[in-house]
Amino acid sequence: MKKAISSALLVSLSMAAGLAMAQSATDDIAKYREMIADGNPSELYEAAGEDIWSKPMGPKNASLEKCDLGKGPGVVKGAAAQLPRYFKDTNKVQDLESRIITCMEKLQGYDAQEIIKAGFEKGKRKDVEAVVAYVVTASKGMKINVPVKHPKEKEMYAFGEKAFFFQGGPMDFSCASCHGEDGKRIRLKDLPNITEQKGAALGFGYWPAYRVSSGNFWTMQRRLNDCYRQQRFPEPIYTSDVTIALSVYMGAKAKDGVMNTPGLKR
Amino acid sequence: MKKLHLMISAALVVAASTSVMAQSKFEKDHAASFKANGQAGMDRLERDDTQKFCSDPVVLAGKGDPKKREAIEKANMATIKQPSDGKYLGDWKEGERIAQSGRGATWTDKAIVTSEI
Repeated sequence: MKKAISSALLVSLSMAAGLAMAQSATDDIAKYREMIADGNPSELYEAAGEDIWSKPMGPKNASLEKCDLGKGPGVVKGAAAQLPRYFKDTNKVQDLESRIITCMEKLQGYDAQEIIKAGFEKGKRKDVEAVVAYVVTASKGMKINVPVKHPKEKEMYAFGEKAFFFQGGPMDFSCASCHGEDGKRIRLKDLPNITEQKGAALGFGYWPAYRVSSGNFWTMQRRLNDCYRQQRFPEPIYTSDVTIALSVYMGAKAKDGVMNTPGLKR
Repeated sequence: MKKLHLMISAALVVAASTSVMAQSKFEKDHAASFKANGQAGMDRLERDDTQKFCSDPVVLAGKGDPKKREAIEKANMATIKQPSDGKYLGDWKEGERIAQSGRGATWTDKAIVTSEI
């Protein structure tokens, strides 16, 4: 009996020590992030994006300066904090990337399908990504305020929620597998619980971000794309309904959280 | 009368088979947002009964129909095969290799030819 108790104690002590080590490791990573936060390479993308926004380009040789991101033509400040939202001119709910593509098509004459078919960082999509960095920087520090008022916004929220819990693929993954509960972690990366405000704000408020491990800037669409890849799902189509719906769900859950974009990730 | 009987039962057969194969509107709309890439085909979005059951947040929270839960658990437990030689400690080195990697089966991974496993 004594032997059983002492060995049980040993096991629980070593488990606690292991947990403490892991927690201090994640604390250290948080400290490291704070230290390098001052020099976020996203700023390079932001500068490029600002250039592209005001430069006459495309078959129509026009700039994006009249692009309406939901706050009126040309208003960039605060736009990202209220996207995705419903747009009357396209009669659909759009996120930042799909809206930039709409503007590139309507104002500048670019082919939307070409941008959608291109890969990340390829062709005209590279410019979309830079403009994303520019636009999200202009919402830094603001409150997340994704609307769920228009019937199509409500539809997308419901669709996004269903997609979030959709369990499939050869490994039975859903978004909820990693992001549906408190206290989950992949190796040393804490995973936010997106079904609640606090976790949703950690997700929605810190992406798009510069990713140190891959040395590039990831938009929200890219982050979702890679989630689905790791879920062993087929590939989501760029700016498809599911990807926008998930942003609506996450953004709505994150209401009144703070935009900390562009973020800086491992 | 006989003809009517035949027509009704034929219609029922058609209805039964199509309801088993038919996707819900949500599943159709959901699938329309995806495309096959590499080894990750669209068939991966076809959920079995367990996956459909576990796609419900109420169920994930531990609630929902307890009888259905028991049936799903039972069906899955039945698929677990105990080692035929009774030896539970296998090749731990191979186990560690698998545990440490975490890769494979994504659209950026090379498909494994099953005859080579």
